Amino acid sequence: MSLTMDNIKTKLGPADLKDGTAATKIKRFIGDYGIIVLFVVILLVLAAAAPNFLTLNNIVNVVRQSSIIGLIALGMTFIMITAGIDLSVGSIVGLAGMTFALLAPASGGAFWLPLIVGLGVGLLVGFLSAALVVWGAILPFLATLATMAIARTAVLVMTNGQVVSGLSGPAEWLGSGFIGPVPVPVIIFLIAAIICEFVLSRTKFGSHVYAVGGNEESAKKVGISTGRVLFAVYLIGGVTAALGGLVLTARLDGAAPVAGTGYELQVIAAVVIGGTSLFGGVGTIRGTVIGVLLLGVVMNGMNLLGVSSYYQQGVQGIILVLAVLLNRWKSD
Amino acid sequence: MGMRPKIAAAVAMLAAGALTLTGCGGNGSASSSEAAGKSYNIGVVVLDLQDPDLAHMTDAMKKTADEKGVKLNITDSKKDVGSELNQVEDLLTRQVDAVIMQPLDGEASQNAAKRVIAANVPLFILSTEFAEGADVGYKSYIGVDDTVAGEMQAEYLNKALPEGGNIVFAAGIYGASWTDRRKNGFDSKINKNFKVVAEFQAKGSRDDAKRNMEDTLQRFGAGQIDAVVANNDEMAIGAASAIADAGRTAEFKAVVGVDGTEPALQDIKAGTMSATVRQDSAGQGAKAVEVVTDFLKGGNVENRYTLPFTLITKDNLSEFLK
Amino acid sequence: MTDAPPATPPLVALHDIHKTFGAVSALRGVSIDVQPGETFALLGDNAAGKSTLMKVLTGVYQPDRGFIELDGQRTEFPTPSASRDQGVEMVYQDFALADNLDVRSNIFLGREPQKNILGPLLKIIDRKKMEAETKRVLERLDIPINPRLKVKRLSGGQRQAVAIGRALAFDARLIIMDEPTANLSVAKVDKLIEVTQRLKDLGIAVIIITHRLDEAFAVADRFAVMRQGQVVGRFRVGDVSEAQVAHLISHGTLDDYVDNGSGIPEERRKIGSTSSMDVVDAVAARGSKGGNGS
Ligand SMILES: Nc1ncnc2c1ncn2[C@@H]1O[C@H](COP(=O)(O)OP(=O)(O)OP(=O)(O)O)[C@@H](O)[C@H]1O
Ligand SMILES: [Mg+2]
Repeated sequence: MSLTMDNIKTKLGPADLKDGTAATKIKRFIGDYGIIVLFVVILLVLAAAAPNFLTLNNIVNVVRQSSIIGLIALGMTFIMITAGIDLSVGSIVGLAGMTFALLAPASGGAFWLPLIVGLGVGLLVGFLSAALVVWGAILPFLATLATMAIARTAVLVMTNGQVVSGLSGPAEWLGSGFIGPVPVPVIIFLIAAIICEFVLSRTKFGSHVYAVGGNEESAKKVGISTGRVLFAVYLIGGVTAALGGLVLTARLDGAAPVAGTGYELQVIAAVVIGGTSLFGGVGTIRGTVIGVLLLGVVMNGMNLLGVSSYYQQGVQGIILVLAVLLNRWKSD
Repeated sequence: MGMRPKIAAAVAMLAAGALTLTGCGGNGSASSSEAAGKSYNIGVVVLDLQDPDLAHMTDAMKKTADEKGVKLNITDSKKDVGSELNQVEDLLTRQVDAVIMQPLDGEASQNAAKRVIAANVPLFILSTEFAEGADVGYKSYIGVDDTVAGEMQAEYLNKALPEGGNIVFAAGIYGASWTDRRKNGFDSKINKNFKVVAEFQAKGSRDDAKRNMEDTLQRFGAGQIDAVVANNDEMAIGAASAIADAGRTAEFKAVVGVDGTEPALQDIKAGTMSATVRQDSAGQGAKAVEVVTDFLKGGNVENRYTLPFTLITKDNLSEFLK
Repeated sequence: MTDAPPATPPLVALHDIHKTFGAVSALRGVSIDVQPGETFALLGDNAAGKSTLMKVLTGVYQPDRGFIELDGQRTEFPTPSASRDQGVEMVYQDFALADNLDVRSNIFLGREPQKNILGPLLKIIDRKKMEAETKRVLERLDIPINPRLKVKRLSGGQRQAVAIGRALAFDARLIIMDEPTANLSVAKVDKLIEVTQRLKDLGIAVIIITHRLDEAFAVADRFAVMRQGQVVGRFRVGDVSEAQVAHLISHGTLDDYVDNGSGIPEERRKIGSTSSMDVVDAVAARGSKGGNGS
């Protein structure tokens, strides 16, 4: 028989997306586009309430502030799609940032070496997490809880708990420089996001990341090397967190041993708001970017409106809950 | 459930042990016959060994301990009340002769302090005070009064800006006694012609302070803010960095911190910060070990040792720069 | 013998396969052969060694002894992909699908077609090709499903179609189904029988592992009964009764089989008990009874 769109439709039965009552259709719409709608509503409210919100200056400011959490969230998205989690990212930020801060002044003008060593440190911690998860068969939550502690200890030992302050000019450029009107951190974040989006949505590896998160056993049976996929995502997570740490250090012109503490929770919140499931198999880089910007905009808006710090965390919590509820109605 | 009797038993044993150790001296002081030639073991719980300033402090403590010939057991509570209690209990189990404790919180840390008292081990409080009116039977408090730091920030501004102005306030951690006292001290002494137009909590971190200050700079245009007051130097540095990035350093007449850390001194030198007040952490640490050793050897100790703060500005910067 | 080898060489033949796991002898000299386009059922009780045998055939396990022939040529399957490259595909009992992916991604899971962009170094998944191929194979099975539908939205029968379609998409010559009906409702079992028939029409050989006799009798041309790591009988469907096979599955021999009047005519049963059974295997199995720890 021939296969036309018509007979596909008739044979699909109740599984067809176009079917369903009006109520389920509305639910699906909210589930699919709710976060974007929420984002737009927040933008409109802030634009109306805070006169300085929609200025070019402030937009640049928000995106620049968001780019560090954003960088880390890119790698976290890969990891969470495999149904994993990486609690060590905050410590990687601290460790890579501290490595960079220690090496940058010593290397004179050239900041490529400290940059590469800093990223290497992130890879190393990522490798350790991956080894525990894949070879040690330890739950990602526990494995990265361990690497989180180990990496933080490494920062402390490196500097005996001291702040390292004052980088060289070119290193600072990474955090405070501009290319045209665009801040360097934003450019780094954008390029990284485009690469990650491409890898996740277009390549074979990206597809296998989803498969591992959806059903690891099935992925194994069809011949996907799930261990390799898991290794790769934790390495990506390590590198993006390290990159975030480098940009943070450059931006603050120094590194504190506690830098990045608590970042893991902000990052996980942003990724979840962006539609990635904690149970794996679901999520996109696009969504994560929206989640990161949404949180950034909300924090910025509250500061512009002079909302007390007492309430700010609570508002973040409410948005997280809203996002989780909205994502529950997703059509796929 | 079964925990309680166990702990009670442990405490009872410790109390007995402490009694035998201190001999007939009881609560007052160790008997002199035992003091001679005995190596004392002092347990220390500080807030956070990660903190640069506290690292200075513990270094100084170790140095003084070596000089005095006593042993230190340094631990940290990692700024967690639960682990503070655990560390205290561990030290008691190891039968230390005295405990020096830097309380995490003026209220919540009283539990851990009372545990030490119950074990009949002499307790000394370092650098962070208990909430006012707290009934904790410690031997001495060694440190500064954080209230004074805030007062000095206010007095500096009153003098530098007699005409007053608009202030952005970077608070540390609301509820933490160092933040509350510094803030209260500042509020009590600042002239009426100043106004706090924005306040944010930056948890003592450069990172948080910079982000919040960036937003605040978006909110207020040129000439709308005159000064930034921060509860510590890291936050002052973060705010100063945001101001410098925005190219608005010239608009600010004062950026003031507390602690007198090396990077803050560099910022004062560079002109992005204007002043800081330093509490002498190393001095406090050394003093604490000194006082405890005196006490253990039978000396009399006072209830309170307050070490002064110092105001550091461009004028006297050279005395403090390394 | 009704089980006489045909003139053409078998599609695959397993010869004298042995496989031991520690103290357990899972396979103890098993030989079977499957003809091109034939539907072959592998029967046997739990732990008889059916899955292990198929894992040898699909390159998951390497036999300790014995060898595999493909089109009469001796060959080796060192890895699952080596076996798949030769057109031997496995449909897993749980279908090995990823619920979060769409139909086309599942069909090509692990073997996604790629195309170059910006030169040969950068490759992306060729989703168009996947979609077209998915439509093609599902059409061949006569079970059209929207290739972009997430698998979690599919019914049990549709999921099975995707799992089988996965095998078809790569020009399978032999499809192995391990307990294909275990996850299906009764109505779906009929559908499976239809699909199996369809595969036969397409000239694709099928091995079905099952311990349900009715299914084996409904779909298979021939079957083998395994017990304790050995083949205890090979039959052509129609040569024996279900009751006889049931006895063989649980006892390993028909020697002590007592006819309680099943539907098979007298002559047939006679033929079945004298000529169509592999008595040697049955005796061997009996001789080693109790020797297997499992
Ligand atoms: N990887 C393995 N390691 C150890 N023993 C194994 C392994 N795989 C199979 N076995 C053993 O080999 C024997 C045959 O198992 P197999 O799975 O092949 O049986 P089966 O006929 O498929 O049974 P079922 O009908 O229950 O699926 C069993 O005793 C089993 O426990
Ligand atoms: Mg089996």
